[in-house]
Amino acid sequence: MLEGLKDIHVSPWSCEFDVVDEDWLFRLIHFKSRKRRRLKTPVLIVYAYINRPYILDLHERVSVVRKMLEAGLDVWMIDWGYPKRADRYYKIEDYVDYIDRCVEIIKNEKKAESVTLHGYCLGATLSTIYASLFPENVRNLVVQAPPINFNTDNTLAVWARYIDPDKVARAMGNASGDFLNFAFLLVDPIRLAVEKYQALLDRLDNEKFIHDFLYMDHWIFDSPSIPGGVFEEYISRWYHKNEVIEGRYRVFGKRVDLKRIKMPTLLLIAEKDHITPPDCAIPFYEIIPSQDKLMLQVNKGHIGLTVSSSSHRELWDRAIAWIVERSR
Amino acid sequence: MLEEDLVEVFKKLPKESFELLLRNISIRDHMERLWIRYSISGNLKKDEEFDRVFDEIFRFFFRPLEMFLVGEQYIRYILPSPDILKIAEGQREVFEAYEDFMLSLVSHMGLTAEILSGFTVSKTAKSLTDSFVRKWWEMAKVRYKLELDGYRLFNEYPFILSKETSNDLFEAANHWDEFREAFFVYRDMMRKTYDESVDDFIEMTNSRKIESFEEFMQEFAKNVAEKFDELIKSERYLSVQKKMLGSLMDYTYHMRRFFESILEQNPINPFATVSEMDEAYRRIMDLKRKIRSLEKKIKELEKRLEEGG
Repeated sequence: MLEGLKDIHVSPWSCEFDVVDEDWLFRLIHFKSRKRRRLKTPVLIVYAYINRPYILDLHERVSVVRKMLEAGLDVWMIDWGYPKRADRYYKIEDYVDYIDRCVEIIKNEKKAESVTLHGYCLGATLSTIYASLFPENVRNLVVQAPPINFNTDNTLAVWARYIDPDKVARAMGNASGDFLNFAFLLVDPIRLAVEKYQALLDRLDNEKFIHDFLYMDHWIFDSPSIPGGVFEEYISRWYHKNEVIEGRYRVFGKRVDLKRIKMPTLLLIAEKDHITPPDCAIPFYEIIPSQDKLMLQVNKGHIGLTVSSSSHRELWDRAIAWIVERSR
Repeated sequence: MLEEDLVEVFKKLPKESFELLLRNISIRDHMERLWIRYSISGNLKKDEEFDRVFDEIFRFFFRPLEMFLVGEQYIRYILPSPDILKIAEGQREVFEAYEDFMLSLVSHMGLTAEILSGFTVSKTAKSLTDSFVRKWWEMAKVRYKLELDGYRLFNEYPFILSKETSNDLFEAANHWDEFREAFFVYRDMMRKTYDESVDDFIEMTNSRKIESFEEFMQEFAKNVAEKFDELIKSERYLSVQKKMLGSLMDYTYHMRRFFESILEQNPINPFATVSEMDEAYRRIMDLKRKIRSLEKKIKELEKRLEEGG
């Protein structure tokens, strides 16, 4: 009955890329494009430090990166790597600093004045922080399912408020991938550990379904650890104290002021997102003074926003057209 | 499916997916049995098939926590608890009996060798051999005696350990008790919620006719999922989960510190502990940040110089 599963070879990253910079844990990658014409403003994708960034290039049919390249964009991406025990003292500040380093590299290499910063999930939080600190470097800001307001009532947010992150970091060093997987499944044990797999058993004769299922599960359980220092900070300062939206978060001694987000801003949200529900993002959208802002939404979940065919049909073409228009 | 095919599937899937898939095959099997009974009689009763479904779903979640419970039992054998001291005392008696036996054996072998060597070796060689054996044995006895005395040290543990080490042990014990208590409350809470959802499901299936296995399965999952949606956001669940996780983390930390400080205080120990390595990592990270900051300052200076400032 499970024979079909062994014939599928999961191999994410459908687009070719070069590694342009490596800094211990982090690396900057640059996607190769077959298109000759490149738009003036490069796109830097900043994914979350939970799970892996290849969700945006999972396989050919649902690759957002491929769509961007085909639209003539010059696409770069930060990979936050797999933190080990030795990385437990990384701070969020180090992540923001690496974004700055990457922006400088891209500016120098492409002779560009600024970039389009595209953040996804916690990568969108980092991108927003960066854009508010260095607005001159960000021509356009794209935030996809961004947790900016952490005071929401989805289960993950409620649980995060009941965690002592310092205890986790002190005992384990980092918040391990297994620990995070355990929590993400336990948030909805019946739908994620039973219904999902029953659906697979019902459709074992559907090759496309099996293919997509295995790619997704491969990604879901490919979970890097979060460095202990980052885990402590993001749970206590973002979830417990909600410092970002309230304008009390500081990086490099500077206050993160969302009123500085005046550049064109595109917000992408998923209505059924149980990780970062629309409530996480809409207050941010309302608060920023940008005169050129747009919100696009689909009736999908946190990941369906990126990998579902309907999102590609309904949202990504418009989103990429928006970026292209502002990259000339 | 052939066993080798199953191994191939295991190689392809993440281990979590593979385990959940096998568990779901089993869940389906139990649910099909329930469905057959229901479709024949039109009536559903609570029986062991529901228990097995619970087990298949929640073993996945309970196991990591139970691993801590089992792991703690192994650690307990390393510690000088009264049981272990009794074993040590028993070993001491065995060693003493063994020592008597060895002494008798050596005397016997010595006498036998003395008789035989008179025929085979010269007087000088015999004298040297005797002397070597005697010296070796005296040395072995001293060493052996020392090890026997080592067992007494177990009884003096509180005086050997540093205050900090003892405190870590006490802290670990307290947090361990908290964790155990919270874990059992947590497990019971999950079980109770599941039982309630099964009761609701049975009531629903017995009050209206379900036409297909697919519907039967969907209704069951929907019932259980909705009950758990309520549970996992309830104040009681949140406080138990917080206590369970917090005490487990505190236990882990203090237990590790207990072992580490024993090692750190022993000058013979050739290994760096995790905490010592962590301190090195912290210092390296601080240095990295300082270097990065200097690099930025140099760049700014270079830029200013280029601009003629």
